Amino acid sequence: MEQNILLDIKRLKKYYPVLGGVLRRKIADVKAVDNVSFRILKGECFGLVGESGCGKTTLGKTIIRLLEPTAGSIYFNVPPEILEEIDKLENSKLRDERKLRELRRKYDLATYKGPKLNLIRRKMQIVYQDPTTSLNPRMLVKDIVAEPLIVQGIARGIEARRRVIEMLYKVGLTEMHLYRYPHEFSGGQRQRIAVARALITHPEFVVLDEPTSSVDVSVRAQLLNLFEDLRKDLNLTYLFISHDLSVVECIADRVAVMYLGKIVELGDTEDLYNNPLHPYAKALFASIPIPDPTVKRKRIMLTGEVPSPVNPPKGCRFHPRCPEAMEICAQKEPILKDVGNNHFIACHLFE
Amino acid sequence: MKKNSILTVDNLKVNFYTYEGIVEALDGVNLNLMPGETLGVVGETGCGKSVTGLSIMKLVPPPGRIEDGKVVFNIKNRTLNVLELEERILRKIRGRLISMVFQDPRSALNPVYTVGDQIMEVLLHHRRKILIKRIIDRLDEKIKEGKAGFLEKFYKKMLTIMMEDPKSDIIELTSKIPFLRGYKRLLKEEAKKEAINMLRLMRIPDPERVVDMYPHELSGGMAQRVVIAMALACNPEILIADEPTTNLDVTVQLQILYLIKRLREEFSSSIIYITHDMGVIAEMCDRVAVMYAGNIVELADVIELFKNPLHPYTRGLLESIPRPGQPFKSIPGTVPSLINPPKGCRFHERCSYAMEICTREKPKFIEVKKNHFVQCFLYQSKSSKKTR
Amino acid sequence: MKKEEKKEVTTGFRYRLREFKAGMGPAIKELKFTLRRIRQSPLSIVGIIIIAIFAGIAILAPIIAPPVMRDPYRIFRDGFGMEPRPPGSPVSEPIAREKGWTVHYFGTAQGQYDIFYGCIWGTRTAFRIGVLVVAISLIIGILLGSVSGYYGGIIDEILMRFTDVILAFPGLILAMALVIALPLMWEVDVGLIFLIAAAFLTPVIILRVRHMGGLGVLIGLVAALAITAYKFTIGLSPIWVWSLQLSRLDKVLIALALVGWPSYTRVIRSEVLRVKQEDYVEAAKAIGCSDFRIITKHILPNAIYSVIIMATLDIGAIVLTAAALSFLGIGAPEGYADWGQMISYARNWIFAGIENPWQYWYTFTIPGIFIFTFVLGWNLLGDAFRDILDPTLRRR
Repeated sequence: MEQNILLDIKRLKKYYPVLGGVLRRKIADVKAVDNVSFRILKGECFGLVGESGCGKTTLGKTIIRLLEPTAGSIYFNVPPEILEEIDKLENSKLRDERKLRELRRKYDLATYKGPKLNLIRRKMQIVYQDPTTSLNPRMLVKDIVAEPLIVQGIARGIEARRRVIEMLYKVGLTEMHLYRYPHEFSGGQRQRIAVARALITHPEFVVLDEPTSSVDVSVRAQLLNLFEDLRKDLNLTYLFISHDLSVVECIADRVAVMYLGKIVELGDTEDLYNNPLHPYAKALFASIPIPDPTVKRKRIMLTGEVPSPVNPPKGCRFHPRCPEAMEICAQKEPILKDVGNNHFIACHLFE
Repeated sequence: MKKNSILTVDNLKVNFYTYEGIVEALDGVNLNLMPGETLGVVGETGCGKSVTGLSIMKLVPPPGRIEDGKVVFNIKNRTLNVLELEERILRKIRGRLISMVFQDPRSALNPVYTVGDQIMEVLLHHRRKILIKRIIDRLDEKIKEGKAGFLEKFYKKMLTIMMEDPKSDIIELTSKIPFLRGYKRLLKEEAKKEAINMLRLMRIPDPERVVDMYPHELSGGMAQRVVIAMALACNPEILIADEPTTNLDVTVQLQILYLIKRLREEFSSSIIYITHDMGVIAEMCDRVAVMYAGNIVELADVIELFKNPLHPYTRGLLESIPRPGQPFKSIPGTVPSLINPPKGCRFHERCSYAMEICTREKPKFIEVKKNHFVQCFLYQSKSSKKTR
Repeated sequence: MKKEEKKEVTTGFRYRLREFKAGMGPAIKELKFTLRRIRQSPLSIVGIIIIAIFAGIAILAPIIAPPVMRDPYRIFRDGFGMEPRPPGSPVSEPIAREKGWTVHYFGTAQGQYDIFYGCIWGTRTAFRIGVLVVAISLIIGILLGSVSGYYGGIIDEILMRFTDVILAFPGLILAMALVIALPLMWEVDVGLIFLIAAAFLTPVIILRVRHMGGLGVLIGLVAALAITAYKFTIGLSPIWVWSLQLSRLDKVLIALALVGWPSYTRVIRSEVLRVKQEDYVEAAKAIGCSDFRIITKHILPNAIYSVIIMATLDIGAIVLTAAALSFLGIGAPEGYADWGQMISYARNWIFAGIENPWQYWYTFTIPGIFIFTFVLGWNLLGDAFRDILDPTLRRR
């Protein structure tokens, strides 16, 4: 077992009930995140890509308990021996239920409630996509960035102010900006304020939910450089969610591709982008427009559209659109397997 | 002015009069579009590319006002300056000769009408006569074969009158009598058939079912295809596409791009493609215009532009495309406010090659190499050709 | 070490002063922006001027119209004659003459009530009724609306059905019924109220500290209900009783407030629902903010705009309703300085025979102009607020 696992996510599910009928009962589930398991290592930038509706934002928010998981476990910063023990307990035939439950209650983030959960919040934070809506338009910058300190009881008054100024300088702003409202700043600066707010409690894990999608190309590079610098400076671990595949290629160490609530392929960035194995991943990477008119890439055109997550196809969720679908794909769901070189794939073609 | 271009934009100036001041959105834009080509207009947010597209159709919303310039159409040997035409004539041109596809298909479609209704609206507005003619021909056939009853002969008579003079009294009269106004139904059916045809051309599966659906029932990609169908329904000469794929997923974007490419051949339209994505430009366009802060700073063939970018801004844009293994490069500074734009060249504050003259005067838009135009003092002396 | 500590303290005070001054910066900028917007809308300036004039009249009432009776809100009567006398008629009552009244500037109404006096002091009444009723409705509306909108679920359902019931009644009729039904003399067991409040608040506060505010509210509600039930079934000896004497005008106030709060609740609830969706509310949750903090610091400051506009427009409407009630005779008491009351004195004199029908125009026209202008002023102000506070137009 590796020594530096920051997050171990096991069989995470997030379903939304669909109410219908006269009595508004649950008639179906929107399976936004369906049985996702993976690990994030300390200090890495983990990329999560997929198209709209695949569940990547839901996954990010569920991991930091902004949404309530329907099932599954989230182990944050748990020593590897404990993880091993939990693994052993879950896989053994005679499960010691009591011991398992005890360990879960202690370490599994999904079971935390109340003050315990609140303590964890300072270790995991999120930066939203659109800085215009993620900052309270009626609050001054100084209050926005100081709020986590006050709410978490870490610092107040002068001490809080000192930390706020320190953080503002780190993200490239100055104390001149303390007494201003968010609307007085440009998009890029607003995103920096959002980053300052996220980092002020010195979290270890930050979910970046499409942080550069709402800003211009030139600002994008500035923000990405900022993220890289901060990661090294403050020892952060990122979950970088994006639908912009070219950006993820440059910033992430490892990447996971999601489709309809499941991870279909996972691997080191270079390996994955140059040699995608899953048919969906292949089509996805092949559809990135190349900024060079002389290069003609071989395109894989997918037919149809992404189906609704309320009624996903049986078996492998991609099989109705998959150009290499086999009979078994319509019946059995493939499991994420290691095919060597840290490359995981969920496809019957590779079993 | 190029003689054989289908559209020429000459020194277009547009201002927006807002609470905060006058936003000089377009500062003398020069473009030309050749028949059958795809011209890309690329730039960041706020550079004025959308305003340019709207100005070509004279659709700039208040508080915007077109201050100066010409937009000249060169179709079927007639020249029209769009900006000088009155609304009545413009309404005939919009949708028929020039069409526009917008960025967000959801807001371009009216949520309370079915998709079919909206395509039919375009058809009935612009191609009424063609549709009526089709029905009349069909009815004629039936009459010749002797299979027509009294009603059909009557309808044919009505439709012929309608084709000439839709507002004539007899049409008004018969349209009130339930039994006699069946010919209107014929017209609607014909329009619906044509709408289904358009949907099928857009490669929308099961078009007979889709034509009765409402926009919210469609996915983003499908909705965008419907919008494109509406735009192409009357086979316009020019199609202006304003970031049509920006809001769509990357696989759907590919489908739409290929669709547009195919339609380009089938409909032989000229396209102005507005986007901020250099990859899409490389994929779709024959020539490219680079916009910055209300000016076209560079205009060239697409391969030439990517190989030899001349303007510092174009260079900066191409360098800021993320490449793996390399640090992220960006253009320092931010886009200036257009309320009190910088004097001289609007890019000089961020330009690493800025000279003294750049802060005082605005460079002219000149042809530096064959078919390669730049607006930059770095190349002023080199050029010997005249200003466009 | 001690010396450094001492320095901290003074820095603390100076620091606070600096903070205050710096904090004024953005507030002043906001003010400047608002003033600029006001300047650009001439109608809103008219509205502000009108209300300012009325406010001036209300404040300076004792100077403009010196009181004659012991209770300044009682209009002095110059005799007991039935027929109204025109503007300019002399004052003959000795006490009034003593206080400086020589002439009836606006004439007298039926019963020789001085119209000028009634209109001037009626301004005070108008402000009192309008502002107080709207304030009470606002407070109730904010409390219930934000809880309903934020928590949703069954609390929301119950509250909304309750407001539906009240809104189903025609407002004026309900107000009339309440005015008649409310007793003048109230025996309120203040001690009991304090007890219930304490029972409710204690669990809320204790559990809020441990981030279980929701549970605290629930326990508090149960405790409060338990005590109430105990009191009304088994019986509890009165703890500390106050007796309240309500004037007729107070009854009007309470009635109008009881009729008015549902609309505010609804508006605030819908705004809360809208703001709840915004990213920054979710971001606040991600930081670990308690529900209370989210509602008070994040949601309400952004949800309150449309209600403020509604409140401003409502003040005018409330004054009109109160005038209607007075006209019908169930509003202000006899001889009270209230515009509606003045018009009710004109009831018999609006049309005075065929020969000279508008003979007594001053009895209803003048109070009518006061009412009309007052309501107009608030309406213009409300429109001005709407233009200024419109988030889409605000700041580019």
